[in-house]
Amino acid sequence: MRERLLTGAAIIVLTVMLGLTLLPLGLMLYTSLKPAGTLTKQVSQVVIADFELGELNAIGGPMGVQATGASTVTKVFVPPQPEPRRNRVLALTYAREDGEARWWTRLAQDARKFEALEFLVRGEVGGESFTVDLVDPRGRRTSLPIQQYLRGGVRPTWMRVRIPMEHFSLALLTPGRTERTAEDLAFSFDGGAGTVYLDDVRLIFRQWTLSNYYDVMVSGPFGRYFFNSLVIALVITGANLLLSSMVGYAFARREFPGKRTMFLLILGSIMIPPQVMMVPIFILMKHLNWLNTYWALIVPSLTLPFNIFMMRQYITKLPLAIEDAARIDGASDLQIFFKVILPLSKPALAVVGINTFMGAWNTFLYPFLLTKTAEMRTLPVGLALYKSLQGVDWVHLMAGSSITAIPVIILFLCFQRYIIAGLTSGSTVG
Amino acid sequence: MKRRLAHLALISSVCCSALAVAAPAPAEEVTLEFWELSASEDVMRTLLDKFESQHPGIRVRLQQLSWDYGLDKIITAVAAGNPPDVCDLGTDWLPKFSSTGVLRDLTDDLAPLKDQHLLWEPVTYQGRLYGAPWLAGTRILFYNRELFAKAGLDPDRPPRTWDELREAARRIQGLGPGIYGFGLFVGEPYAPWQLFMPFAWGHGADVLSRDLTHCTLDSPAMIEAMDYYRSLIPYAIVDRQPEVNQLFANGKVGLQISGAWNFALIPQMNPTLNFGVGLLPRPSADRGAPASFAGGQDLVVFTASRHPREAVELVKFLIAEEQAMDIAKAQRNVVPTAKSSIENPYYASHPEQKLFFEQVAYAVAPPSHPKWVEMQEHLTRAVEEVLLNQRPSRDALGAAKARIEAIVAEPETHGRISDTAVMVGFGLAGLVLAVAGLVWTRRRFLAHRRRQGLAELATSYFFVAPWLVVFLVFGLFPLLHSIVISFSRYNLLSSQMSFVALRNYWEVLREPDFLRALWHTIAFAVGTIPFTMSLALFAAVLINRKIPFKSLYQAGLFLPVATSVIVIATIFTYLYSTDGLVNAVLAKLGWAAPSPSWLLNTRWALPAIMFMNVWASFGYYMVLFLAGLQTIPDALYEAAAIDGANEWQQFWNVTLPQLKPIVLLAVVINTIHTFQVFPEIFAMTQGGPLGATTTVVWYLYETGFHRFDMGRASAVGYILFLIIMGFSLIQMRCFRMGDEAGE
Repeated sequence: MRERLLTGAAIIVLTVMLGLTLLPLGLMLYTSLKPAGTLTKQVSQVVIADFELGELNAIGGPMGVQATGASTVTKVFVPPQPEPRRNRVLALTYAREDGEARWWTRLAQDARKFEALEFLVRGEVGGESFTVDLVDPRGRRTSLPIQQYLRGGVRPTWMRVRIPMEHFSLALLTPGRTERTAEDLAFSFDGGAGTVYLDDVRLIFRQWTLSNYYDVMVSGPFGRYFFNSLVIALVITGANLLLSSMVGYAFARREFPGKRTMFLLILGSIMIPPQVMMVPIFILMKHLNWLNTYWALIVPSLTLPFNIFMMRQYITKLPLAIEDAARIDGASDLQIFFKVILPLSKPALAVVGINTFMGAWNTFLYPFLLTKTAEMRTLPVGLALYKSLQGVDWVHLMAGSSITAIPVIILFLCFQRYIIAGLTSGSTVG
Repeated sequence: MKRRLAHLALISSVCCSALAVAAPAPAEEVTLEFWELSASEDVMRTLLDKFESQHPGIRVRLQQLSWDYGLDKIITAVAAGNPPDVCDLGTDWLPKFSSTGVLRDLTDDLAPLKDQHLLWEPVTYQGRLYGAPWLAGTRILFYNRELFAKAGLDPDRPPRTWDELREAARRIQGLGPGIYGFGLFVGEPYAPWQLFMPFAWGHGADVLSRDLTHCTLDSPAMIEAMDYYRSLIPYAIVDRQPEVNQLFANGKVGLQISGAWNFALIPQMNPTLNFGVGLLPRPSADRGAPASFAGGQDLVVFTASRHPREAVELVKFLIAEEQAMDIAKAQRNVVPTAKSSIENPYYASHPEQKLFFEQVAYAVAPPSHPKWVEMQEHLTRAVEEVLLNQRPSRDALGAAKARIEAIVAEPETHGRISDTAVMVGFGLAGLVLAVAGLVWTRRRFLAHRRRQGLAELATSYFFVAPWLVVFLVFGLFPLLHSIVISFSRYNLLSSQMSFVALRNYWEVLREPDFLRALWHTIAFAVGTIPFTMSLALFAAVLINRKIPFKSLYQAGLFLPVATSVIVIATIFTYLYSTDGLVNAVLAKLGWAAPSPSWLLNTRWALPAIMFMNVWASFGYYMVLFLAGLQTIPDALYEAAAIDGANEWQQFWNVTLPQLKPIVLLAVVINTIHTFQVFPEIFAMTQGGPLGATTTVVWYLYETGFHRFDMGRASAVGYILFLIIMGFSLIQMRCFRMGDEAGE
């Protein structure tokens, strides 16, 4: 009964702690899937122009009319000045001859993030028609005739038009870049003359999107960054599992001259702030001709002080009895290390594995300093560059962070059972 | 000395250009190294491909850097004698570089272009040109049109004078709680003065006199500008620049002075914002100028470049309007420095970006004094003291003037012994030490050998060998090198090194800023370690019980550790901001939030970061403890249970003593980590507000990589090393480590 009560209390406490640790990270994942916004802000639509305020559109962008050749087009606000409690709309009067006649306004939005374009439209007599164009910064455009959505052109009564984004040929916009920038929205009038009234032009966001992840992945050779990080992290982790436990074993169990001094050196070497070592290490790597190679990123980390310390402390706690028993059975030192010590150290090895992989995977400073070409960059370096080049925009930053965190989490899930797996072997030891 | 260097540079450049003229076209292919800070790789590569096709025989290798981290890398490369041929530098870094003689004098190459480009002041040093203005960035006024309309202001007419600005801010501030008229910046090294100085420049005041020999911060015009600036406080939010940007994007701030990055950020953070732009206000309609801060990027050629002629070709190619325009279009946050760009059809259809071009004409660059980096800190401090501590303008400026005058007057100090002598000396000392070490080891070795067999010892060394080899090659050399540096005056940029013995240590220990940083660091360690340790131990013991979904809890609590510190810091900065989640929760509970908000509050900034540190790191130690708990035999608990010990007694008498080695490990590692706390500070407060979060490593970083005084920075590093070592030894003594290790 008492046991059960305590377990219950433990579960409640742990769940509260879990909630507190996961809250910020949940925000991270949630944000990474939004089309735009910040950690807590979600936007569902953008009103591009409702014509209520001043001369600019509702996101502060300019709007204007454009006519070439003998065509004409004029824009008038109705009423001309904003009046309280009265809706203001835009009236476009056009006469299309041999040139073009259009109205345009600035969007500067990534078209991939939107579900649809919506607006209210009415014609003076009915039957006026135009095409709806999205234009990229270099003037490339994709157009859709209004007749597809209003049979026979616009009508004398207000109609709401909804154009799904995928009807546009978005691939035509900003070719060669990942985002599909719709710089301007334009209404280009077809033949004839007339007046068209417009109101409430808006873009509707998609609910969720994976485009943030996609953007990050294609912003550079991310496959290559991923590969580099993986190679470096795996080699360092493997080496540490073996080498650091060897060294840790020696410090825990063996006597040799210089032991104390060496141990202080191991600890001391992580007490010096890495910023002090940046320049000397760079100069050393330059003389070794190791700049921009895997060697420079792997070899100095083959035996990490923390891991040696960890293994030493753990092996110290292992009972001497079985080791002695093995020695009496005639096992050599190497056999004892591989057959007795290592299997008993599974929990510690799991910790070493997780920590080393995590450290090597997330490390930024030296990969950044010691690499020169994109081919040698690691994931954190690629992401840091991406982040500071694009400005801290939440949705992409969070997507990038999720991408780096996921492999570590997977590795943790794989290794974590060994942390507790020691229980069984531990009990046989006792 | 400096003059001699300048002469040398001049002579060498003349020789080089003479040679270049005489030499025939390069027969074999030349590869230029080009480091660049801001345009994305694909845009830049397209331009470089074009350059390569126009200049057969020259290839360009591009290295992409970024504003946040670029400077460290450039300085390290320069210090190692390995800089690129052509490099992109921020205008504010330029004087520091040009004064050390590492940049090639480009006067003869660029003189013909002088009339075609803007912003030559930052690249000019002692009358010579050390770089080419490439892209300009400046600040303009952004305003919220919707709030303007609500406050009864004309949404298409931004304020043009100081009075109009204050009036607009006052009316918008009056719209209600949570709405702010204007944004004033504090809590960062640069943003505070970069926002204030345009008001002073527009009013005819400056920090230094024209000849850069004395400080003019106490001029009446400067004090008037500051008085005006402080009169905005009641109608403004006083916060860090990123927070103000965010509030503005969310429609909570009426007016803000900001850079062109807003054009990219607002559509991403809040695409629905209805905003307009305008020139900065001038003191009054008939007086002063709408001055702004001139930032931007310059291209430089390093003297170490082996292909200066080709490098200059690349510089000329990149600064030309056509190329710069491509970058400006793709990025939207810079404008070309080529004057002709204003006629470019792109700007005709983009009036809001053209406004930047108009503003650049009024942009003022900070004084091109090589020690400007140090001076600006004091300027920021003056601005922060006025905004945060309500200190009178005259006092704050007077104090800053005194400090800046001291910097102007401070001579370049060098030791008298040359670095060769130092190196030889240290080499000899190292040799003596090595011999002594060998002799000592041999004696110990022989003593041991009497007790143990040779094979036994060989096995021991075999086990230690992996660490020993790596340490001797990759640990020892940088270690000795950095110790040598800590005894020297070492300017990273000029690579001048001279031996000063213990002077760095002595000076650092007498520096009040360092002592304050040390105090903050100790407070940080003492205030986090007990919490981190007990939370981790608590969670580990709970998880180690037989509870369901064990691995879920274990993985969940570990998750923050798997996430990069920079990301966690970014998230927490947001949670701690004025309209962040923490304050929202406090308001729900009816508790008052501190004002100014957490990270800006000199009292709360450090505890807020400490809290985050505990949150982000306890999972790491929890996993250590979990592994350690597995070494405790169940039999011990069974025996205790038979003796009638309850859970608490079992924990106290069995778990804790048995876990001792792992607890020691965790405490020592946590001590090292907290004493070296840096990324959190870097990402959240940059040592501010008013130095309240300056830790030792941040102080070290600033000394080494902002002031380029690596000798002193290394001394700071070794002082910190000794302190950590002391703490760790005390901890080991407390845990009686020797006993358990059986030594």
